[in-house]
Amino acid sequence: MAMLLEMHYGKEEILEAYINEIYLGQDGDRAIHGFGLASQFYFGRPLAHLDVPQAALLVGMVKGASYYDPRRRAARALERRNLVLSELVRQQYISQEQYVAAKATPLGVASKAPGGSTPYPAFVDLVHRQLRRDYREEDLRSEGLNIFTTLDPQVQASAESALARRLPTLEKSRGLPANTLEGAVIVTHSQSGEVQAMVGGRNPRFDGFNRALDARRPIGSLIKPVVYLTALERPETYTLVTMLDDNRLVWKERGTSDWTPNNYDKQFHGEVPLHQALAHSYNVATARLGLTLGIPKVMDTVHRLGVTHELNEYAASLLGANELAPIDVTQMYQTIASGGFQTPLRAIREILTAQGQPLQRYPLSVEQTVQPGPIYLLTTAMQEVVRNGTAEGLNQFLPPELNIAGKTGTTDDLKDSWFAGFSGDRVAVVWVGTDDNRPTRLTGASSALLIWGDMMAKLDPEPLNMPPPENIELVWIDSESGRRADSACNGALEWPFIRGSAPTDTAPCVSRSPVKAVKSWFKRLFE
Amino acid sequence: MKRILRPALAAIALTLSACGILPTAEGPLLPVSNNNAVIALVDSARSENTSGRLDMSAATLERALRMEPRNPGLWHELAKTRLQQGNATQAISLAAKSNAWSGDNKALRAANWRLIGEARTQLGDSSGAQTAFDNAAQLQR
Repeated sequence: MAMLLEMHYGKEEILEAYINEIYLGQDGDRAIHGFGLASQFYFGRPLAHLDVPQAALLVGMVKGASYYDPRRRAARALERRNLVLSELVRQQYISQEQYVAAKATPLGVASKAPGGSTPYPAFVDLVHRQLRRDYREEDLRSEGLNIFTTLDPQVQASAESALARRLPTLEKSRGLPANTLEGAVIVTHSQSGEVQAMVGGRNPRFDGFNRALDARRPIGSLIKPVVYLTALERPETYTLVTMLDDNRLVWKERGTSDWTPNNYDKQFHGEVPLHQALAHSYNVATARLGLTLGIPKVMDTVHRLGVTHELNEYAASLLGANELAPIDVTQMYQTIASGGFQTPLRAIREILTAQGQPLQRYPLSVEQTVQPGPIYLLTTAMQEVVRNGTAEGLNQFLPPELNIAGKTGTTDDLKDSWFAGFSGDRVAVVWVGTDDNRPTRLTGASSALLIWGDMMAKLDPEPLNMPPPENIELVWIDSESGRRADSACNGALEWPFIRGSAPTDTAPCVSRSPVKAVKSWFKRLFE
Repeated sequence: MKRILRPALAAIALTLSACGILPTAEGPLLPVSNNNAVIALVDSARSENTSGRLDMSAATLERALRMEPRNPGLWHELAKTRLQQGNATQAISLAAKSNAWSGDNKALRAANWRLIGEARTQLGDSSGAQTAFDNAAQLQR
């Protein structure tokens, strides 16, 4: 091995690599590699500014960075440093006077390591994890790397302040003790998957538990768009206007007690069109639909949207019993927002070496995991959630013309409150709850949504106007009967369908009389 | 007349393609972007491509896409590059992504379908390739 090295590299190159790579200490979970970083870590200054005794200490530590740790084993480290100094004078690198003076100086180690402090610890945490995921460890240890991240400080500031401002108000309004609520926010670019902001808790400067990445909580109704997407992928059976059954459901499975899901308003709503069941987040209609489609099929869709965790396949999974972290939810909604193309979320744009050369990395990958047609239909339904469903409250923050698509989520006993949604340019996910999983008396619509709206209102979002995929057609539908109508029908609305899947029976309001037909033709012309 | 015009047109076409105009084999010339930075990146990507530095070319296109992630011309260029790099699967996804943002641009959509056809051929999916070529032909009608 040593011979091979010497054949390929000059002695100086080997030494240089060694100097840059050698392990010289530990800062929490961060290993200190190379003299440059060690100089910062122990003395708080660049290598070129070290004096002789300081340099001698680092050289001495090469033999065993923890054994000679100058912070914890000062005496041992001092002895070691002085040995290096005596070698230096013996080999005449320093004079006798320098030796005497150097030997008399204390270790001079900065008492506290300058923790890699950053105002954005949650985001930097993500950067660290992605560095390990996307780059080769040995490349990252060379000195003087410039890392360009995707953080957008303005977006980050809006996310932090919306969370910090809303949580105390929410606590007060629900009679919760102060500082009990926690939260997390993630904002990404809807097409590129670049992470623009990440808040890991209500104190955004605190470098501790990063809820955005690590708090895995039941996602509640945030799962519902996935159930409906799975249905809409079967256009021969399901369209946005297909009637779903929201009457009482009793699910029997051997070995478990019967499962009887309830709606949030404790009512059953009979037959409801699919888009309405999503807009009002009806549990019973969704559960029945999911059971018909098959629980594994629905969970498979979750995976196709980019969630890699294993998921339980219980009936309750259809209503969001599975636990995911905000980052996983963001990945899921990202795939929906980008039209069915899965792109891994990224926090790093580029890394340049000290010489300005880009470091090799894994290239941008895009994978179409869901067809654009069903995604288009789902997005239309998610826009209705905001227009006149459970997320109607968003309209106090954002004008309806933005056509925001979203979904509220609330879990059992009101423990977790979620809102996930997207505009034309951004995907954002907000979670609010407590660290000890106590009931918060908050619903998705009453808390996470407020933070989401508050934040997005400051970011001037682009409207969500998706170009319809090639296989989409618009058809007038009678809201009463769910049958084919025309523009002359009162209360008829135009809905998108995958070509050929729209209902064929016409509603009673469609007249065959030529006068009416002409009238409706004109009406359509001018609408 | 014709003899004079032709070289002149060729010269114009060359100039255009050198300043970030997306030539599609049979369709009209389309400006890739109105953004000068994006145009400059596309130009560098092209010259990197012609000199065989495909990885570099793809990375440059990715940078352009970060500025204009909804630009179907850029997705198409990246799809072409991936196909040249031998990554047919990615080329198909990227061409589909380009299609999603192509709207009424039939020439670009046809170009995407042809690219998908070539990629499927490389993957040994000849019937899939035929479907893709048929889609392209239909758009060109």
